[in-house]
Amino acid sequence: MKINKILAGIILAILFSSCTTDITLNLDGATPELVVEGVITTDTMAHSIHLKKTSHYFSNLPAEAISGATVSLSDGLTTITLLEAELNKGIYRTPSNYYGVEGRTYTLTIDNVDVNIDGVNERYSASCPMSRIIPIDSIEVKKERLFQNDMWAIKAWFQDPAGESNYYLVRNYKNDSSVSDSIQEWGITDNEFFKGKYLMGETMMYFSSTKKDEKLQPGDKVTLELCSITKDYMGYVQEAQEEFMGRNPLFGGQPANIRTNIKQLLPLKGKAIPHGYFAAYSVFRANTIYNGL
Amino acid sequence: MDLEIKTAAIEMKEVVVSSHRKDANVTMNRMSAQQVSIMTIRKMPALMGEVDLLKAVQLLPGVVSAGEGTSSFSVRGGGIDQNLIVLDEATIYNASHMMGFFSVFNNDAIKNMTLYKGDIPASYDGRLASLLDIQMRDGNSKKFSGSGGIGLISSRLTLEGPIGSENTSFIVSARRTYADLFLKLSSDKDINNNQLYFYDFNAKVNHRIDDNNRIFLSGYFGQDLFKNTDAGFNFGNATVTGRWNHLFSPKLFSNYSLNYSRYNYGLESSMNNESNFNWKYNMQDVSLKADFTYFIAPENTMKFGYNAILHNLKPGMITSTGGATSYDPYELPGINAFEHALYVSDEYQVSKRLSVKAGLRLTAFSSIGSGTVYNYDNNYISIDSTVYKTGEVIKTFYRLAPRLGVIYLLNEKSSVKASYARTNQFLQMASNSTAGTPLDLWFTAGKNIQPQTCDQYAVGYFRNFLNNELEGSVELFYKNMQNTVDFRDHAQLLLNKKLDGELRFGDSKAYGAEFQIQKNQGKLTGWISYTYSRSERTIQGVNNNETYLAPYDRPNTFYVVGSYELNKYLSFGANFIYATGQPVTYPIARMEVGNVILPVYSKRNEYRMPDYHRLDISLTWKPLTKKKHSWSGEWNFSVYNVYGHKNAWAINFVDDQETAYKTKAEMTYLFTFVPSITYNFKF
Repeated sequence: MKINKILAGIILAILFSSCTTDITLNLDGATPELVVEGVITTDTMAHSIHLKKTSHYFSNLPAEAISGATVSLSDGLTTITLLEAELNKGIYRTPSNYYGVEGRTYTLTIDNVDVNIDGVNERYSASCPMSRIIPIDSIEVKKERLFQNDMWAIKAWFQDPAGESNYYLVRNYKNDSSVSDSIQEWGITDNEFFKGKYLMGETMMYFSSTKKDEKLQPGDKVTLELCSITKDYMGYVQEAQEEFMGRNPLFGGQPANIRTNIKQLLPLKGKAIPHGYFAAYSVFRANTIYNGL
Repeated sequence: MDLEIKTAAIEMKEVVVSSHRKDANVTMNRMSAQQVSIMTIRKMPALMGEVDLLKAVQLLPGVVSAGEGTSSFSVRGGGIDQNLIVLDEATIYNASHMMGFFSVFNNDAIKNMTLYKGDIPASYDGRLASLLDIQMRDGNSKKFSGSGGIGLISSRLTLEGPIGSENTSFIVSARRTYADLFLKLSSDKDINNNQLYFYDFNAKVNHRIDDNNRIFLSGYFGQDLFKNTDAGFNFGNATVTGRWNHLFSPKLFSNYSLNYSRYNYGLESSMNNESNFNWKYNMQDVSLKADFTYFIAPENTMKFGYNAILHNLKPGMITSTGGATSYDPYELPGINAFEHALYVSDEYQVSKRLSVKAGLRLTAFSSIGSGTVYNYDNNYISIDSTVYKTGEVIKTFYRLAPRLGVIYLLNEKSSVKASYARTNQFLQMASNSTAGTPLDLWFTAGKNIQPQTCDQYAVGYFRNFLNNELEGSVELFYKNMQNTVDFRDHAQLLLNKKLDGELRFGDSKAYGAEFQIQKNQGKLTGWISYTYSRSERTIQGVNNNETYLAPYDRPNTFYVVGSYELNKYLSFGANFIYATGQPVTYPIARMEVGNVILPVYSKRNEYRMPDYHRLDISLTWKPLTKKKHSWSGEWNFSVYNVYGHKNAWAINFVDDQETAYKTKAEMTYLFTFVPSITYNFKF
């Protein structure tokens, strides 16, 4: 990923005379489809599943929530039914004492919905295994100059478990509030370059001085969240980031839909094309106080 | 064969040396080929005043540019990696400078170029769509002379002349851009240390040993460099050609050549932290060729030969520089291949009106070790890998390439021609982009990849008017292609050891009609062409296995290239280009996930970008020179995209920064109204 970002920087520098302008396009519409966004982690909390519909690309309105669905969650041993939030329609929650267990596979089932409004109810399902927690020994923050800007690098010390392929999702927090709450700000990497190694002060994420909420002051509490995710979910995040960034004729390839692990089960031979992802992953957090260096 | 036909005007202005008859368009048993003289190209308006051979190629019927400002082009619906570009017989893998705004061909060093869009001679194969054959100039054998130019972004200098006697001549030509010199003026330390330039260098030495033996040695070297405080990037080509022409007898000619060509790039980061990397890519070919022409009888000519090429590709090793964690170097598996080919073709004049030619080429292409090849299951998941020793054959393909051509003269002014050609492609580019980038990644046919093949059928009607002053042609073509390569959705092509797993295969076809009227003599010269062309693919694992438009399906293209010589001092040039927009995939819905709005796409290439059009003009002014045989100069003023049409280079879908939940389409365009001035000189 890093190399791709550097390439993009070089290309921008070379396209010295490129300009942009808004353009009006007539795009066809499509039947509304299901969009699922939900995560079960090893944290003890009310985990939520969001159900929404797709809409016309230029609809310019918030997505329509799907209310009244029957949403159940199984960890292979027990199945619970999630309750729809009273005030936030379309959000279905586990009890607040719920937590995911490493090694189990979580299956989400969505019933009693008619997303495409054809009068026939559909059933959707998705599963994801929960990988094990990978602990961080410590983190450190260091100011660096990068792409002509001040950046603060969060460096981590931890052991990448030997003999396996691992996939990581990292997010950063400043004084306990997330500065990477949108998917394009998440960091993802596999361990292809450091399989089984002990990482010594490896840069995991940056705070950028160009973003107001990310600027660090001495004394700020900095948190790094290391999630151990599946290969498929990393692919989903990567594809979502690619689609968010857009593309140009030199780099980026052909536009393509972001993968999903949601499958339509009913009606049989249903032709719905669901979107989104139901993920399960383990989380480990490490903190430090920025010392101003 | 040395033919010098001199056309002398009353005042001898220039000597036009031509190896073809004036009515060749009608009488020659060759179709789907276009020859444009470097003199014509020099008169055409050019972007930033840089006369560019490849931009001229892009204005020929059946050819379309792969995007604004790029050197890459598509021929009859083919891919940008399906064109074989050779400079003095050595392959040029990436013909672009500065992301393609300029090509590697310095016009001062070029003699001639021919583009074969079909009916490719049996002496060549290896690319499905076209052969672009470019020859360097031999150098003036009579006297020492020079030429050059000073432009807004670059300068050129060429020196040529005899060495010792008329039997030996040389030419050297160099060019460098200086855009980055202006960066030095900046007071910002981060900017004035930046480097951004390219240079190239051509050289050729010719020696005539005796009447039966001639040798030449030529070479090209060019490099692009970009460097700022955080990263550096460079790429370039190098070629060397050594050639010996030998006449056994007046009936049997031979040519032997040994060529070397190389393309490389490097990318390194030099950031202020520990996670720097360094990536180097290198590919090279060594090629040996023996080519014979045997004039059996006046009506019967045979050509035959042998060609061997050794390909060596090192896609690169990524090493991390500095840092506390010792990263393992990440090495992409190397690719080696050995290619032999035998070919024979014969052209036979059956009667005054009818001539036929037939050719056959047999190629044996072997993918060889050393190397690691991954093995894949039916879902393209790698299951294991096989390691091959140096020189061990991984897989060999034998491919035949038959070629046929026939011409029937209807009368002195018109003829009909037909041709069939099978072409094979063993080496292709892993590029998911439409325009082509310097980060080309070539890969060969091998254990997981079958060679691509194309069968092209073409028929044409050719007619000349006004005593051959006007040449007209209509050609129809149909191409059927197998083992077409495309890539899975969201393919990771860069830095991927398991590249083969990202490939998907299928069939494709293209068809179309080309109409052209060309005028080569008189005050007004140029051509008008219209092409209707379609191209589509069906690839297993892409677009739900449904047929979709190839990226270069541009149904209508219309080109006007004109030059008018008002008098000895003033001449004008103009180009007009119109092309249907490129096929594109647009979102048909959106979804909200991860706190952002993301697109849900239509089927592959269901929409089109807006149509492309622009007009370029130029004016060349030669001030009167008082003394003869001394310095002569001319000023060239050019305007690219005169009426400033904003041609879409990319269309992206973005969030409106002012209104929440509002999304909009945004178009990126590159050049509107670019004036330039160049001073060219000769001495």
